[in-house]
Amino acid sequence: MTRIVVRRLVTLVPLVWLVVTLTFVVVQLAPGSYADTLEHPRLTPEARQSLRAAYGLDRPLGEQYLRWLAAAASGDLGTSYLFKERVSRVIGRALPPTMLLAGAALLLDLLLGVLLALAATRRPYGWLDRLTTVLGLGLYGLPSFWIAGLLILVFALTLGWLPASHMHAVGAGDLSATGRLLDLLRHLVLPAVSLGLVGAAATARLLRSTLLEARASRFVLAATARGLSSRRILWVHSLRPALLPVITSFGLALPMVVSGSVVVESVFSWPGMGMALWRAAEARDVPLVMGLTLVGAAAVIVGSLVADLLYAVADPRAREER
Amino acid sequence: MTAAVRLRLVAAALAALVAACVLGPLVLRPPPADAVVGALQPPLATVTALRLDDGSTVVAPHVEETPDGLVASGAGRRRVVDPARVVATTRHRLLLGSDRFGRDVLHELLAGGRISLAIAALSLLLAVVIGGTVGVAAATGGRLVDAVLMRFVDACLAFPVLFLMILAAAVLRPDPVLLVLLLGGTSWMGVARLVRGQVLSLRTRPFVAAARVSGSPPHRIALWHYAPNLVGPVAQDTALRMGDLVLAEATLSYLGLGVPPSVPTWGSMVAQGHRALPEGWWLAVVPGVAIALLVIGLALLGDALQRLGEQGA
Repeated sequence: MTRIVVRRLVTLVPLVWLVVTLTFVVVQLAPGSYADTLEHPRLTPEARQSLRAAYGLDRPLGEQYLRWLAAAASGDLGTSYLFKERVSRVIGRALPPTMLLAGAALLLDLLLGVLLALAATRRPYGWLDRLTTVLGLGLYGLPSFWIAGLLILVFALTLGWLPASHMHAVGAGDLSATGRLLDLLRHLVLPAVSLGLVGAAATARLLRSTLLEARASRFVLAATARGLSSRRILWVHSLRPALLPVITSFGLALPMVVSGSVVVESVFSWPGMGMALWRAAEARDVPLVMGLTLVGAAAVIVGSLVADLLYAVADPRAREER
Repeated sequence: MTAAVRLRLVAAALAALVAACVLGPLVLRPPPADAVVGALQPPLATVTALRLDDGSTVVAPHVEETPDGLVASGAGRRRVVDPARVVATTRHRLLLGSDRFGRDVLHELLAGGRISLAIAALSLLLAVVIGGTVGVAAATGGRLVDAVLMRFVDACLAFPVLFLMILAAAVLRPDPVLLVLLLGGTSWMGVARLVRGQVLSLRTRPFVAAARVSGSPPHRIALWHYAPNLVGPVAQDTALRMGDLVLAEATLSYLGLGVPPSVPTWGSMVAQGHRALPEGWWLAVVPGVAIALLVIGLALLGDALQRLGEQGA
């Protein structure tokens, strides 16, 4: 078990290096640099040139790349051009909102997905099953930004129940601790629902088929023959094996917790990693782009590793085979 | 319903949608969008277009004859037209309403669908070509080639794909060719894995061994013996993948990436609709439903193909 973890962690390094290098190439493919994106009437070409020199943008690309790589290897991600701050601090500020939003979305995804699948499989091919199938298919086809827009139209613009954007209301800093928490939760609802709803449809679809498969299996027949209660058969003998593929699909969704959903964050002006990447890319803020991609790539790889480990915990058969 | 009937139904519905997008803009006669008095008309509204002698057109939902002349009014604006200058009067029914600039949403939808479909289809083609080549090469090229290629596939799968696409699209100029390269270049890995698995199992079949001992060169075996047997599984897979590509294209064009803003696509139409909320709700709803119908249709097509394959096996 430990050997597998170590081996996977070792492959992490070249993978992350590959991703980061490709990112560097993509950023450099673009015309212009940070010094060219600044707009100021008194900015003369000479001043621009000295800015370029100050940021080291006039150096050969190979040198810039190697410098960044050497610094990153020793844990220094450099300073963001745009925010004039350490990249690690910018990431540290953008990470909590993204983790909060993605965590809430994944929770909703799991709860709603399991609930829908359980409801659907009570009577396979009954009206509830058909209804959830049709709903799930509809949610699968709709883009999350469209659902976000519809939610804003209905709940924010028409009914006025929930705020349409940002993480805090103006002047929320003056509220009490509970008031601030409530304010945050009110802002969290719409983005979390628009992310979680699409996921829940996929989870329900997957879980429905695995649950039906588990219920038709011989170990459930054996459990029934032993006279176990139907509740125990459902929760312990059917749901547990049926949830295994869901763990894998959640492992693939884990990177979202770190890298953020750029679209939903942009619709709701949620100040997370996705928004940070968007702004950094537009400003040609190379150190910030590189830092964000580094974190995002590491998250993808660690996410799939965590999913594999959880799988081994949940399924004793997987532990033997590896 | 048997699988074959279901497959035909879904395929017919999708073909109708594609045909509508390809041919629709040629057949439809939308009202001209210049000098519009009442833009942003809801679905099923009727507008009157008054063509004037100088070639310009006034389009408005209401036209009344008054002593001052013809009064075209709508959405709080009005314009008086001299009846003597009107050359022709036509009435248009806007089935899906019009946008801020008075453009017919139905026409925009079909024209945008064309571009969305073309981009998704071309990136899918690219993904199948790259994935197929890598898959066949990995399965037939020996152990070392296989190991190298499959680790490369793993590395590409580990990429934060949307991250990369957004980065590239934000940094580089909007360009449909670039979009196709990006979408195709980030979605071939699944095809490669599928093709590799299929070819590995095909390799052990007697007809491939027969071809090999009769001296067929490897490219001939790949083209004449592997490719025909790969069509079925790849077709199933591509139906689902096409749906994902349509969604990815919509997401990127929603964010204002991909194609220049003057070109309508379904994603950018949703984005425009969001800017027109709350009064222009149909502007966002219509293209969203179109995306959903296409993606769901493709999912059903993949499902029907899979069932047909299971029945045939």
